[in-house]
Amino acid sequence: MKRIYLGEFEELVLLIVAMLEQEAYGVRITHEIIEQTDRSVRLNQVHASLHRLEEKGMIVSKMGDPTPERGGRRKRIFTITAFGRTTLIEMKAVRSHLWNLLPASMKIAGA
Amino acid sequence: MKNNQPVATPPRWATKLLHWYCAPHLLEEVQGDLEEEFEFQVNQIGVTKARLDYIRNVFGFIKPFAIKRKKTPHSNSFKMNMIKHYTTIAWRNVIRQKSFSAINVVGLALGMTCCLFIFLWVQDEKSVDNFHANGKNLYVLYQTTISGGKVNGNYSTPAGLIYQDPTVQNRNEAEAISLSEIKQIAPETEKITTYATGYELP
Repeated sequence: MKRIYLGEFEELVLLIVAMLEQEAYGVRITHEIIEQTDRSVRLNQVHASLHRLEEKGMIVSKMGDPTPERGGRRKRIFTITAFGRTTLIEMKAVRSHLWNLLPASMKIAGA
Repeated sequence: MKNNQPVATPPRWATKLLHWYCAPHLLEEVQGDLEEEFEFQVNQIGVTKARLDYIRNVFGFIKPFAIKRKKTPHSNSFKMNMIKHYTTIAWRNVIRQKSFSAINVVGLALGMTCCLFIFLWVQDEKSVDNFHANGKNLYVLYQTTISGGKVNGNYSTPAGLIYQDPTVQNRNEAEAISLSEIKQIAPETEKITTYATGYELP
């Protein structure tokens, strides 16, 4: 089996990209992470992570249309690839499998 | 919403810094994101803090992924291919003309060996008597004697060295001085001593 390596933060970013569909770009992802997870994230961290994810082939990007805000500059819109989606599904499967193996006491505490 | 300034702008120098280090193909999205974030933060925390946040963001982006320039498809591979080609052609020529190549290689090897030996020799020559602390001010007298039409040279300096003016034809009448009087010829001489050596080459 091919080993998939994905950092914890990268997994989070990948999930947010999948969630936002056609609206995933730097600022939006950052704000979404702050809102949904209550972490303090900086824009540059998200950009670096997106860069790595793209190198790994989990996401693809294209330049969007220019908008009047942000000085008429275009956004880079990220979308998840099929490889990225299977990776997320596999990770989730591994996790739920491990959760099922946990003793009952842990499960109650976790829930 | 604080709106005491009509249009809030991020610090110009920070933007310039971004323009300087950021890779051109990433600049548009990065700058756009930074500006959008700035406008968002102006409404959230005010202009002054938003400007500080913008500066922090600009510095935060100084990372390899943002600095690294995009490779052009030809730049690297093209040069490397040519070098490989040159070596191939050179090697084929060597193989094709074996005797001529052998002469060339042996000649070059001989030349390089000789050159190295010459360097070693010069180095050795230059190291002779190097231990003198004031070597720059030391001079050895070189004595030439003419006997039977033959000129002989010698570094041995006898105490009673005779100096004769070479322009005088009749040697018996020439004025002569001894070593102790050498200051007459070279007034800058500070000290004189005798020196014995078997070294005779000029």
